[in-house]
Amino acid sequence: MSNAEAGRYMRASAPRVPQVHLIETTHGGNLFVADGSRLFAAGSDLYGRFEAAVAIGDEHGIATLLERLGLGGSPLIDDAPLAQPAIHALSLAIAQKCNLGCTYCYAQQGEFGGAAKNMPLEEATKAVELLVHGAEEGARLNLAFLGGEPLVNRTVLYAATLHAKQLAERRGNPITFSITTNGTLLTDADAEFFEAHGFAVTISLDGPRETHNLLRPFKSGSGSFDAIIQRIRPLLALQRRMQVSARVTVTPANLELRRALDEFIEMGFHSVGFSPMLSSPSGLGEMQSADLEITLGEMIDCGREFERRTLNRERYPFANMVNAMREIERGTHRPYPCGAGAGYLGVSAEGDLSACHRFVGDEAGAMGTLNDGIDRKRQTEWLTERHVHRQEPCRSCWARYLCGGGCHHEVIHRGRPACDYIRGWLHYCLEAWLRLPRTAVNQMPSASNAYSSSSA
Amino acid sequence: MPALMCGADNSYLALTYRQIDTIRKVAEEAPFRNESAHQEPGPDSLTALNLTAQLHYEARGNPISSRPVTSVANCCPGLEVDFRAVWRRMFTGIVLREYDNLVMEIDPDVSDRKIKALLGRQLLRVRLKEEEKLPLEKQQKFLMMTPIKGPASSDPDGEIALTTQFNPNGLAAVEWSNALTHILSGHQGKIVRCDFTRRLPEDQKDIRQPLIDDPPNFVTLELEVRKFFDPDTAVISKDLASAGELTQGLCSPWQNDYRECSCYYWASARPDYVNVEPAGNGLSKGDNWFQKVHGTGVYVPDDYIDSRLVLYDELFLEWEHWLRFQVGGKDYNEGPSQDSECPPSQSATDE
Repeated sequence: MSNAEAGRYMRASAPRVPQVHLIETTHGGNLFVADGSRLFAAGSDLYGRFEAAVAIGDEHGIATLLERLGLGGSPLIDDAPLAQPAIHALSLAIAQKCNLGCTYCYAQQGEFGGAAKNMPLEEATKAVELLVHGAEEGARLNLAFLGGEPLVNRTVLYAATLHAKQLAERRGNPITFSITTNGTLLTDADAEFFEAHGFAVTISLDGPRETHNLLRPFKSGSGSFDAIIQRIRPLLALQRRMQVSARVTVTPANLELRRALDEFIEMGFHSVGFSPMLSSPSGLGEMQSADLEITLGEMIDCGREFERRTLNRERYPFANMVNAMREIERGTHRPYPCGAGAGYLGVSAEGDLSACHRFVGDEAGAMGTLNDGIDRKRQTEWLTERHVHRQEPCRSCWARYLCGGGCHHEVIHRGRPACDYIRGWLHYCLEAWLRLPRTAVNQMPSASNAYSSSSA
Repeated sequence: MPALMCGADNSYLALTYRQIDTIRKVAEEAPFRNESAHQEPGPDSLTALNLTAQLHYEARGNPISSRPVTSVANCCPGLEVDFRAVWRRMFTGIVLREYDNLVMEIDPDVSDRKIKALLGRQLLRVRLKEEEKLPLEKQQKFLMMTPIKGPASSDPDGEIALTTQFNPNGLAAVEWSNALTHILSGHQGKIVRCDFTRRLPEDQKDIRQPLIDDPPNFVTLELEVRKFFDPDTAVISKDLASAGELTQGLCSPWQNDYRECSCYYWASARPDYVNVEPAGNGLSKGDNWFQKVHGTGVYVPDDYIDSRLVLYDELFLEWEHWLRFQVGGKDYNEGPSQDSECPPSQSATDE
């Protein structure tokens, strides 16, 4: 797909009025109502009236039209921040150290700007107890292991998993586990352990061999690709309860997405997703607007292949697309991009709580400690400040409840450089959803949730 | 899911925070909504496509309380719909009564003798097929009956088992949309294990017997959970409720209950507060629907004896005269006799 076409999508999806967005397909005009992420097919006269009002930014006229159609009234999402929810997911920075030297790493080679350290078993146990004992009755829980490279601290990872499973079973809470790993330390025993406990395993791979080796070398400088592939093959072969997915962090140095997608799907990954690098501690690897335009073109190219394969009833687990189709189908509308600082918190190796795994060691997202508990005052401030109605320019954007305002970590540290990209992608996804038969959308398997926030 | 209420026979009131919030929002603006709503011309000008669009769609001409989330559905005898009716056919092959979990009918095409023998028995509990091999104490159990506890007149702050002569074990059927939440989530279209009373109950007292695991006083049958919605839509499946069944349990104007429950109770189909207009002081003015004379702008509170209101006998005998259609929250103009205080029989005599 050409850059010119990606640019066309960016222009077509530009924010004009906050209430609605219009999407025209070969079947006619469609109305996307931001409030509730509701999607309608509109008759030609009606569509024309919306088109005319949108063209001149007539918000009052659009409000009147919506009211007449029974689509007005009090908004489904108001200004009230989320009331302090029970924790249902925790991620443990179980090893704040890493054997790779990725230049763009938000965790600064795993150490988050501090000294390399492992989470002691005592802290991991406290974290598990915070998760399970604070859970609502019957709530589904998730315990995630991140780093650094979490397998550096395998013993504690295993012990925390078993402890969590036992505690959750005793309380009647279903629990799932996930791990994001660079794959270089995986063993056959790990594969069996993850399969036995139904882990969602995400492998960080940044593209085919040459590209990956450039971006994700060992600290020694040598390439890590071959070592990773060798170690993940047993997991790919073994996965039944376990789901092994690939996550590609997109930087200006690996913009050929389609090739990576096809290669990883061919390898047997459960799903493959892309996440553009918008904020790195050093600024290295961050995407600029020209890079994002190329990325949008690549994403749409992948999306079109997804459409083609889906119509042919072939499995093509492009995670960003699968998630987008499911969210549009449901009409997902949310005042936050993810559960960070709400039902989801990160835990550092030393037992500090943060809004998510990216805020480990970062005062901007501090949320208390395992010893003192969640800082409820700070959490309330966070949920108030981070509500999408408090964000600019989100308040006037039609895509605000699909996007939720963008990844908190990226926004706080860099701002919102990717809005055109996100809106262009969502516009394409809305078109694709309208094109695909409903039966095809509903029969799609779910993909990993790792790509459903600002990266959509 | 509509808000659920129950009247004199049981004591449950089930409102989620989302429902309360929605009702609050609706109440803030409902009286003065744009009267020209739903007047958009053009055939099929708007078609709801995705699930939120379908769930929140307000069909042209319907009031805001016609959406499932804003309606107050189910009661004894019921408001817009008797939502309990959707549970009757939740399990294939049998028709249940939500009120007490009794099997009322067996589908005509059922040939399995064990299922046929369920007629008249009571569903006590649901368990999961995939946990069949686990010891009973480790299985998840979804109880359809539960002990009722609450304050006693002798101990208003305490909590005692609420037993009666006819319910010596103090058991009540659990409201189904709560009892079956976990079954609906992830088990639609799948087989579950259902525990029914082993013997047929003999009387009302007998249908509130506790479930005993050892030795078991129940029989277990495997039944399929029907899918709640039609495929790919937010429409309640026709397999669950046939046409008319969601409203057949609602009361009728000639029945006592229709008059008995006053004050904003008849949410949309039978509005209470009508002809509402802004009063200029930030409040509103309008009529009680049961007032004989409308258009006074003075709401007559219902004390059941005020003769300005339609009283029981008048309603039973002359309901066709007194009850007026409401369109857009206002009296539908049916002709000059509309505001007459005289019922038809007297009008005929006068002429």
